[in-house]
Amino acid sequence: MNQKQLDSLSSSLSKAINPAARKIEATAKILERVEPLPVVSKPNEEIADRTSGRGDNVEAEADRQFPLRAEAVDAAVEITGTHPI
Amino acid sequence: MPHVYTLANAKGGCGKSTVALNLAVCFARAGYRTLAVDLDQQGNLSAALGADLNKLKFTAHRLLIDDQAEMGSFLVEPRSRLKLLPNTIDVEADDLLEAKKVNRELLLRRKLRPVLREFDLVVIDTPPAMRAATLNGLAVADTVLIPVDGSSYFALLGLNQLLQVVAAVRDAHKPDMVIRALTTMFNRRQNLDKQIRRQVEAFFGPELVLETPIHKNVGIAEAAALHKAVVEYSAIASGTFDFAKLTQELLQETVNEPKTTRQPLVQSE
Repeated sequence: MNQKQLDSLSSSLSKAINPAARKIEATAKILERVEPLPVVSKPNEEIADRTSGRGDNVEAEADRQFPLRAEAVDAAVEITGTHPI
Repeated sequence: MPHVYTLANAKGGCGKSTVALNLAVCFARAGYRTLAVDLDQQGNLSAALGADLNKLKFTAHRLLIDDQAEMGSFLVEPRSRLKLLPNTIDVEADDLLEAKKVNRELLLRRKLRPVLREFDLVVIDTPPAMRAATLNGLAVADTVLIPVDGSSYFALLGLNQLLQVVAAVRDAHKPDMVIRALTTMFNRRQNLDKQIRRQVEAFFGPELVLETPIHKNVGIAEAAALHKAVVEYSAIASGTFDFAKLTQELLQETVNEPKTTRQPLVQSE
């Protein structure tokens, strides 16, 4: 038995004796059958929302993402966060 | 960190709030510090735990839409070791939550973070609609409990839509999330109920269906009408036996450390 087979056997055994891992795998299997609905925000949408000013607490979010010193940027840049850094 | 159970099903009337109520009370009575979160604006879980829906100002929806609000000040303690984030109908808050654009499904996760260490278990009730509130409940779930009405021919309708939403949230935020199906309103004397149970097992696979069904029992509804869980209402109701067994089944799977303060779920009347 080579290393690859040993690893595979080890992985199968650990799944077999670990009910939590079996349930995670069973969940993944059943969810593979369905097409996820586009209901969660994607990273690029989050950025777009922050920079468009339509989101919530935009200034705080932009400050967190682009922590520039206040004197180095003008107000518009602080709000939109689109200044090329 | 606490284990988070989220009750979800796109079909209404399958027992989400009833299961949430009874599980939350059972967990607390078993000695676990429990948080019940009512994300459903119908407020059935809140009312059953004794909240006055007409006077509620600090609701789950208000917490989620307010950037500055802290969860601690929104919680009430309807039972020993059981805290509740209540909810009631509030159209304005619901509209504002739906209108949120930035990571709106992660609002509850952010609010929960500071208080999580205060709890061993969290039980979340969600509305049937797959809207922002439900997404928030799913995004924090370790286990999504899907109650399936064991006596209804329509029980399996809508499951695909739920799974599509669960798949999206799991992919994006919770890769270790597990789903479990729970048969409710089950009557083992009815052939239809047995047939539906078999269909549920075939649909989810044996690994994901909870062994304990919740049988149809008038005691469960009577207890809720008196703002009680069935285990608080009657020691001999079949619902009491079912929820005690379900609690045990879930705790064995998800909570590793036995609590020294554990108490009997049912006290003699």
